Amino acid sequence: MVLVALQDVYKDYIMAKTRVPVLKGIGLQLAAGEMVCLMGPSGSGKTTILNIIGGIDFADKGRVSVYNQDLEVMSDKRLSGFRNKTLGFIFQYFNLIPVLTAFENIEYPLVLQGIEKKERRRRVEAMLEAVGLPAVKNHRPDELSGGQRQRVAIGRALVTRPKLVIADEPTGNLDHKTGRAIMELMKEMNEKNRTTFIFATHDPMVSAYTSRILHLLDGAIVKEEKP
Amino acid sequence: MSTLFLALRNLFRNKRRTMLTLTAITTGIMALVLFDGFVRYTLWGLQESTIRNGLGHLQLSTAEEYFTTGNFDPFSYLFTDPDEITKKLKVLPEVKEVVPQVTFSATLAGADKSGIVMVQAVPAELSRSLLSFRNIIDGRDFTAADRYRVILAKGVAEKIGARVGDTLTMMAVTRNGGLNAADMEVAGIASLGLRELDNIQVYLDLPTAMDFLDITSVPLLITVLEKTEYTGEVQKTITQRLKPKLGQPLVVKTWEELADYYRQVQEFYRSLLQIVRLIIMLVVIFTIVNTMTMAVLERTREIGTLRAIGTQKTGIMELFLAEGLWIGFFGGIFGVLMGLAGSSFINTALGGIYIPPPPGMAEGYQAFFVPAFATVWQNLLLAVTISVLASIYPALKGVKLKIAEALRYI
Repeated sequence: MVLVALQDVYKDYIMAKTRVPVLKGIGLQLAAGEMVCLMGPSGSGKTTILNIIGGIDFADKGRVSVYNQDLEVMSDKRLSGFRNKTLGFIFQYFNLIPVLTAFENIEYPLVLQGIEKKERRRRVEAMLEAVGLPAVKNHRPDELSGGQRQRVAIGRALVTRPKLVIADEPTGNLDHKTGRAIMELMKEMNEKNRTTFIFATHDPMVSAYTSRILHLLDGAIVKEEKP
Repeated sequence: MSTLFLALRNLFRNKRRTMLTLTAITTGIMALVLFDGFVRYTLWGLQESTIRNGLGHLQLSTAEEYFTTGNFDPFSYLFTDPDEITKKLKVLPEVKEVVPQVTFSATLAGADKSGIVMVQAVPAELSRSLLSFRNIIDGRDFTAADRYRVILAKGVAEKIGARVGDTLTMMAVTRNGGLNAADMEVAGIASLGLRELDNIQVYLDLPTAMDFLDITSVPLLITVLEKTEYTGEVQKTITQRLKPKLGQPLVVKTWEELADYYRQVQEFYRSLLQIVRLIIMLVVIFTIVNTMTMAVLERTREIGTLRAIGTQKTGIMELFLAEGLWIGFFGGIFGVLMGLAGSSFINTALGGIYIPPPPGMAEGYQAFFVPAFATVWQNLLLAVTISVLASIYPALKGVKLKIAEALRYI
């Protein structure tokens, strides 16, 4: 089943009054349960593709379908709900809410869904267990190591049981050993729940965990390979 | 985990900045509470001095015109039977005293100088309840046995050059249109607190005034109540219940309707309070807009993250408005408490603050700070409202952020 389909997608950015093309006719498909990796140098368009798939940026031209939905025509309310329920986001800098504890950070997307407290607690406790953080659940992000923070971010992305997780440089701020552990965790989630993952990375270690690698250069997919 | 909860946590993430904002609101609200307490006490003092300097709480006459031209022609407005009205008024539990009065203009001449004065004549035994703010600074007050003696207001005594024990000549038009003149001995000199009264007022006992003017009745009955708050209620009772049963015309005026100077001062202070409130609120708005805009800027990436994981634009709006609400609430509470504590300190430890004579007043006074319960809460509500309103602009800035750009923000 095709979960994401991008067809002839173009995107330009305006930088200092100059139009800079970032995506030049991208076409790709993601199937349910896949782990796909976008690789390429900085400025090749990896993050822009992730943003368009995640409904936080929009293509100038081309067709984008995520889970059979056209995100561009959705209202803010519907699109926010879609991101919350269908997608999970993992960022290079973890992007945790600094005033919330590990538990509360993971809980937050469930609060947005209006899930009742008892059920939230059950699901967050289970997720903390899955990412190996029950001991630090009451710690705030500044009291956690980089690896622990990324685990919390993974917990937050997966607690809603999304169809697709979008991870932008998930190991970019971690040492090799921690990065490997994080990838192991995501691979486990992928195999256990058939959650689809799409990564943007420079790190060959990340690509080693994926089933497909798409190489980008100057806004175009130049090569596709299987590790 | 509600928006209010998250907003409260956010309030404490940059403690220094939050403290600065809270200090601005607290100081502003404290200043408002103190100023409000000062204005309230000052107006209360002026109200009571106005009432107890001869105006009374309610004035009863036979015609509306008496209150405009009565001092120059009191004879046209004499009551047919003032005792009947007095008896009926005294039955009311709120009424402390009913004082018959004649007020007329006269010329008062000393050895070298003379001047036009306003004579207020009431029975000597009732003068204390009506003129309790009259302060005899030289000589003595009237006794019931005094006849053809006067008490001069300080300004009048200075103008005529009269002292206690001097004999002055009073001249005025009597009931039949003739001019009467009589010698009066100065029994005392009084300070009335209000400069406009101090320069014109002279007191006489009522029997002397009636004899001097050749009248057997009075044109005015002044009602002194147990408490000023009863004024409106008693006016209503007199107009609705008493008036229809009387066989004579009756017009009732409250002290507030008659006290032009009080109304002017009240209006002045109210305007001043509004201006001070406006200035303080502008400072508070500026501080909050500045603080919150900084917060939005600093938290750009966090806003992007919240939006990415599913928070709607309205959720971001609510979050910043809730932060404004908390800041306003805490600032307001601290401000009110500081204002009340400050008032209490000034009143008890300092014994009030000396205020020099304001415009129109003859003497300075010791001001106390008496904030009203209602205005204290109004100020708290004001702090919260202004704070929330001031948060709208920064909140809109947060809402308008593009998610992808916000996530890239460093």
